[in-house]
Amino acid sequence: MTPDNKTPQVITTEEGDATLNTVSQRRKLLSALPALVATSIPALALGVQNQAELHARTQEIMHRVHNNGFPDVIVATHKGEYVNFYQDLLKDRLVLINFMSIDAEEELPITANMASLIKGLGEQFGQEVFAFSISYDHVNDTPQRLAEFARQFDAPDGWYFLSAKPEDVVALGYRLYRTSGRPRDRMHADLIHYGNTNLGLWGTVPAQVTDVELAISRITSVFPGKPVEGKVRRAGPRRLATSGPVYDSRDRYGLV
Amino acid sequence: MKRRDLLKMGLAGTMSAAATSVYSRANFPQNGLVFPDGFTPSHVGRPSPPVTPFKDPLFRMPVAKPVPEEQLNHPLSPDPMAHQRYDELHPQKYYIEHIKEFKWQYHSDPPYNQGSWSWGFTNGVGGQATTPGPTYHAKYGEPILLRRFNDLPHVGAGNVPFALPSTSIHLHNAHTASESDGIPTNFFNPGEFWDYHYGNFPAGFDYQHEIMSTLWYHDHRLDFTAPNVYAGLSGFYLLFDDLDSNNEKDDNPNAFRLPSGEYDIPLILHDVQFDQNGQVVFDFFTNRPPEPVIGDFPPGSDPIDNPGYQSESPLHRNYKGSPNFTVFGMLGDRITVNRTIQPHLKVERRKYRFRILNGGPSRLYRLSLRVNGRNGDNHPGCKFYVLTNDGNMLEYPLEKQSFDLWVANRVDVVVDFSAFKPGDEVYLVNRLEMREDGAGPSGRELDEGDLIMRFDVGHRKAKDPSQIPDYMRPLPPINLSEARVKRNWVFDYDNGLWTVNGRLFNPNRIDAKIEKGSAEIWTIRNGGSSWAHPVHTHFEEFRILEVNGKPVKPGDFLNSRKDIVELGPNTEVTFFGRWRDFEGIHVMHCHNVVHEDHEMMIQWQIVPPGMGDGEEIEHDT
Repeated sequence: MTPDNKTPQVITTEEGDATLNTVSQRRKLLSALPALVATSIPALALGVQNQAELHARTQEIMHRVHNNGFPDVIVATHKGEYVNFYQDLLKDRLVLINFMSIDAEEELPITANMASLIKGLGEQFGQEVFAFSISYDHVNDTPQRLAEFARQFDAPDGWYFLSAKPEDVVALGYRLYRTSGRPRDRMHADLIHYGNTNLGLWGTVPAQVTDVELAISRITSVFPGKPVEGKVRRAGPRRLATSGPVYDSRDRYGLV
Repeated sequence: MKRRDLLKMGLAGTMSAAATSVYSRANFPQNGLVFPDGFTPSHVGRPSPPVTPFKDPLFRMPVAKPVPEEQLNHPLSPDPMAHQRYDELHPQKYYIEHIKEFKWQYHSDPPYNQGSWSWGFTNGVGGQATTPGPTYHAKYGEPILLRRFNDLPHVGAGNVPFALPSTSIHLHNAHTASESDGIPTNFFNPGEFWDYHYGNFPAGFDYQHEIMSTLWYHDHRLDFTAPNVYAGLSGFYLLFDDLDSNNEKDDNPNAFRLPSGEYDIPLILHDVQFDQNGQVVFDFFTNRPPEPVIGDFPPGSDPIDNPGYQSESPLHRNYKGSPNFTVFGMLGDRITVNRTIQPHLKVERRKYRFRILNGGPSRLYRLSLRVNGRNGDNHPGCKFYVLTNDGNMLEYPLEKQSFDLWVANRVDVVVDFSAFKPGDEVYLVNRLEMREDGAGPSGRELDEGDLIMRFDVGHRKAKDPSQIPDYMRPLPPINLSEARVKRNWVFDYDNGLWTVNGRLFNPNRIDAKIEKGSAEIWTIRNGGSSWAHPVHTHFEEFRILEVNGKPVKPGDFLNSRKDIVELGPNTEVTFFGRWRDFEGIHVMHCHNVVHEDHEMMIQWQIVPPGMGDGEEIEHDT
């Protein structure tokens, strides 16, 4: 049994917010929400749910999973919008994703690391690049609390703090890094996913960012490339005893 | 003791069986991190299109052809000052490879006959790229310089969406300086090349004990090793010397005269998953149109039938989108040999040497032979004369009915097809069942097994000048008093990622400083009770002292030079190793490359004597 089977609080949409309008225009999903929220979850477990109805609803969700295998669950943003995680937030974007809860920040201060990466991404962020911090603590991390938390980090537009029904958070965590198949008190992960959702090209970096430049180079490696122009160049090895990072022999200033 | 002596004592089979069954007897607990009942891995829910098995012939990789040295002058000659010991180990042969994207035919049945977008290597400057890439035939005492160009399309322009067109090619497990080793951070991007200098000399210049035989090369790019290798970036690199001379008719009385030439065949196993168009799919969000889902609710997952089920979400109860979970492992439902699905090989009735390599990404195998169906299991021909462990010659061949092949393990075997009748069909079979998430063995054996490939025994008795030597190579001595320090490494899982000593890979952190020319004792422990890690450390082979406190004995398969620790659940392995000849950074990591990409890796650095760290060993003198 889930520890908590409350449905998410209904949040008033802040229609005036430009970012939210963009999201809203991409897909209006508020109409789909009541059907999901209204179902009594314990009723499912007790077998009261009609299988055909359940199946139809599942198929509807699956249908919306445009991108192979990504649960397109409904999430609440810290600005009070309900959106579809894949269709509205991820699709055709360059993204960072992490799992967190405000109460677990002491143990895993992942949000500060996210903030340093987002800062490191510079002007690209909010244009082509977006970040999603998914809270698994849906009881405590209400959109209002997440909004306050976001302000502490001066979260720029394009960085979303999300909450969702426990089982939908589980579905996302389950997909991204594998957790057990039920909500738990402790579900944050020491990793930050980076991806190019248009291609389906994904990697991870550890949550503890000790070298922002290196982490950014990993993240931007999945960004769209440019055709090779000019002569080929030698990437390495560079001359022994010439300066460079300790961790590689690449020649960043190499002759052609 | 030689093989024949062991045979007289009737021990060979027993001892070798014991050596492989360290893991097989373990009972792998299934609690904690198993899939919810409703999960259907895509290789079950959305299997690859079927094929006619054993229809297509085995692909035989071309032998790499050297090029004239002048061809490396443009655009820039190799830089002698960029490589350790370059002048001392001056290249005698030069090679060029281009890494390219192309369509590879995994099978001739539709839809595979349309070709599957893949990555691979050319042999030389022009010509078709293949996967696996060309097989290098290198000789001890003949250093080479290999220049690799990255000709892959840039991100977004190619047809292999899940892999990163940035490569670092590791020569596993050559005795190679850091700058030529292909560590994860030494990558080169489209429009760039890298010069690899392979000294082809034994560790410590010890020609008696440190000669290696079967190596392989594969991509090792930071964060993307698994998808890049899976996309096709792997191949063989074979080393020969006066004894293992690649000549079964060698006049040298000391030569092994193992099956050679067309009878010496490298076999690399990769399990691959395909979509309905015959294109290769990797786990994770690959941007392809949704495919039909087979069945509404997998058995046992229906909420009405299974009220005790823990999760109420219809979404993840019925969630079939993903083949696997990237951080755990990637399993495919088509086992390929040299990138052909279930091939056949016409063999003569004589001895063959097969160099069998598990190229990953995550599947582990238990291999055996079977003739003409199930009843042939006890056929006298269904056995292997095992020559190597991790591609390094044993003291003497071991006769085995089956052996385990973990990711990156190389086992050279001789199979004698003269024991079979003309027209016999002999299958290479896998009996090891994996967890559905790919993180380790399930703990069960497959009854029927997967038929990996078929050998079709010819009608004529063929000439066979080859031999199986009684004795091959002495093992390097273990002198515990040489060991300077002890280190412990615990491989575990924490907070969504795979850890070593509780930490994630950090290229800016050196996890161990090892003094050049010194020996150390390392203990590798699995902190998990339900997953497995083929742990690989680069650069030099080691010798395992004990597994779970049980010493390795003469005649054991593990009594060998190794570069992989087969770290089963709850397993602890201690080895003795040396680090010689070069300085610089190398890595140790899990060779379930999905685990590696999710940070199960450390860096060690060889430093000048007196600069090392670690827990000093008090030697009684």
